[in-house]
Amino acid sequence: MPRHLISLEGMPRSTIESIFSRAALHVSGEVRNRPLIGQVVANLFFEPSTRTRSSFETAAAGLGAHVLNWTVAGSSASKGETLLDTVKNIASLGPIALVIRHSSSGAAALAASAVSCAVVNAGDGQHEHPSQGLLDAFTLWRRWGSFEGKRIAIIGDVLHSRVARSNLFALKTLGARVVFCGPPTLVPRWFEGLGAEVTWNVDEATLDADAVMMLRLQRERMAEAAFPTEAEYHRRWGLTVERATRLKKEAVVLHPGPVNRGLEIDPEVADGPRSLILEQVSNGVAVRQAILEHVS
Amino acid sequence: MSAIVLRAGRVIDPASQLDETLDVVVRDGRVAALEKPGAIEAGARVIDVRGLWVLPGLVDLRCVLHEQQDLDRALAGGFTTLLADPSSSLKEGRGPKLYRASALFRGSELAEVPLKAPPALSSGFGPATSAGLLRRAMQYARSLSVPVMVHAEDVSLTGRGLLGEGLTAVRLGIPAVPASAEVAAVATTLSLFADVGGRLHLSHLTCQGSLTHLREAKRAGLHVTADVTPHHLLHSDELADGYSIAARVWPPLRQKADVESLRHAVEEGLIDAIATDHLRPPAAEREPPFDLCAPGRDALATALADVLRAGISPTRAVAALSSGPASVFGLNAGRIVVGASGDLTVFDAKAGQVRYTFVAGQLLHGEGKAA
Repeated sequence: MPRHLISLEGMPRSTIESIFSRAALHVSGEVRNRPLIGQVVANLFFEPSTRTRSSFETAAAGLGAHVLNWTVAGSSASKGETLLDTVKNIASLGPIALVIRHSSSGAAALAASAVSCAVVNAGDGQHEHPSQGLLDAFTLWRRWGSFEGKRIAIIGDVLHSRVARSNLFALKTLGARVVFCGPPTLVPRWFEGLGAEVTWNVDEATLDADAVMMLRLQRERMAEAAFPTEAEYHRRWGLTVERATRLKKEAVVLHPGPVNRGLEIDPEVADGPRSLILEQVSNGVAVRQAILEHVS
Repeated sequence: MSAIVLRAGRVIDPASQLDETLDVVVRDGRVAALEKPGAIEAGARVIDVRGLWVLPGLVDLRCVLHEQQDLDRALAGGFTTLLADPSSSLKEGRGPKLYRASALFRGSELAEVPLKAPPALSSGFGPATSAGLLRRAMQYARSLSVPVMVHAEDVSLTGRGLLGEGLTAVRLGIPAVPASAEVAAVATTLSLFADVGGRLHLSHLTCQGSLTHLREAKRAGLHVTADVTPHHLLHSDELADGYSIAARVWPPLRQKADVESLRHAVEEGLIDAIATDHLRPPAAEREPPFDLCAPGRDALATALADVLRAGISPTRAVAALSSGPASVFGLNAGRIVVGASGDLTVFDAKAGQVRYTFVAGQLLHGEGKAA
């Protein structure tokens, strides 16, 4: 039975911590060997992605693996080949792991049920994005060492965010408190059932937060009238310079990227001293290396 | 046709409040006698049904029929009378007595109604494009004295939703449908009906809130009836755990509290009928992932067992699957009385399976059926 990484819901704390420990060695450059040399890691991206795909690609290459990149453009997915057909075909090429992104929630688990190699979920619909959740938590773990007593505010379109769900599960497991905030159209109370606190008051969410994670706003939500205008969104829910000055002294700011500057976060904050955004990106490679090792 | 004696079964005919161990004699396609066990009928084929339930042939008010296989599923589930949904493509078939509901709408227009009035005009599994259209449809149907079956849904509230709103949908990241998508449409439909009159039947209700409106309308004396499906009685949204496509049905599965209230409403008779919503999409479309899977459920064959598994009492379960639906549209079916058509279902309650199905006295499902 291969090990997969499908979701962070239910992942034991010890597993998360062992991935972190390994990722820390990658960050500090202490891993000298290339454990996946001669192996193939297949990237299957049914949804466009540059950042996550590049991060996995860099991670796999760093471990010595050959990377097979498969994207929708120029593939047979557009010809109606089903998800499972494609997954089985690529799996037949003998990769050690499939890194898969798909617009359907549950797609990664479905793929895992059909192949004999490891499956790493690189984002399934609105469900989870576990490598992002792990790298976000890892970034905070590096800074804090422990999550005890820490409160993390995740702000924005939580409803449609796989990043928010994965972060919630990882951070809760590690002992932090998580508060979700955003317009009620995008942050339903149901999330309380998953262990999050829910507030529609952004000051309440941010004032005693030790970390504030701003989610990327999908502009098509405007068309769904989830909020009135982008300007209003920025004023009410955005991490403005003014709001950032009122955060706790040591509070840090995260964003999974790519940033809509001046919309969910002001450029001065995204680029400011509190920001861990670039650290997230570089940690992303180390965490994904640890993930690929974990499943292989 | 030789006579048949169903020997010593538990005969349940909810419409006459009959529930006792009797022989049922069927002759010339009709129920000829109900007698104390031991009936002697010269030349009759005697089938020992001791320990089994002998029920009126079941009646379904909404099923999508495309192939003979769908009719076979119906017989396997003990159904002897079907009201096919307008989307059915099946022309001819062997098995249950077939009625057809005619479409209520064609796009955003009224649909043509056959000259020979159908038992009902139905909006099937989709709503009217506007309240104005629905009102005109009700007015028109009233002039023809044909009942209307309404699927109540406000699509502006459904959005891209696939599963009833709740923790399961949020956890799985499946777009959710708020209960108000149905409840608001039920309220609208009932107020149009109060205004226009005629005969209204509400299809596949799923939410507590809808039942509140239905109760109020009935109390006010409106001639409205309603059905629920076996699966909405049996399953909540939690069936979708693990992205099980069994939960991909339309209307969507709801919260446990809704399921409880539906069960209660069937038991107390607020709900008049259980309709199966039987629909088997082509296999290639009925595949995961969840959001790309066509909705539907192969429901006919297991309907009675499902309803009993949902905890509905035997008498109410049988009533809501026979005399209940028959009386909704005045179909001549759903009774075991002398002189009635020999449409009978013999059910093994222990196994949860239909053992024999007779249509007009002919054994069409079960051991020894006609080839």
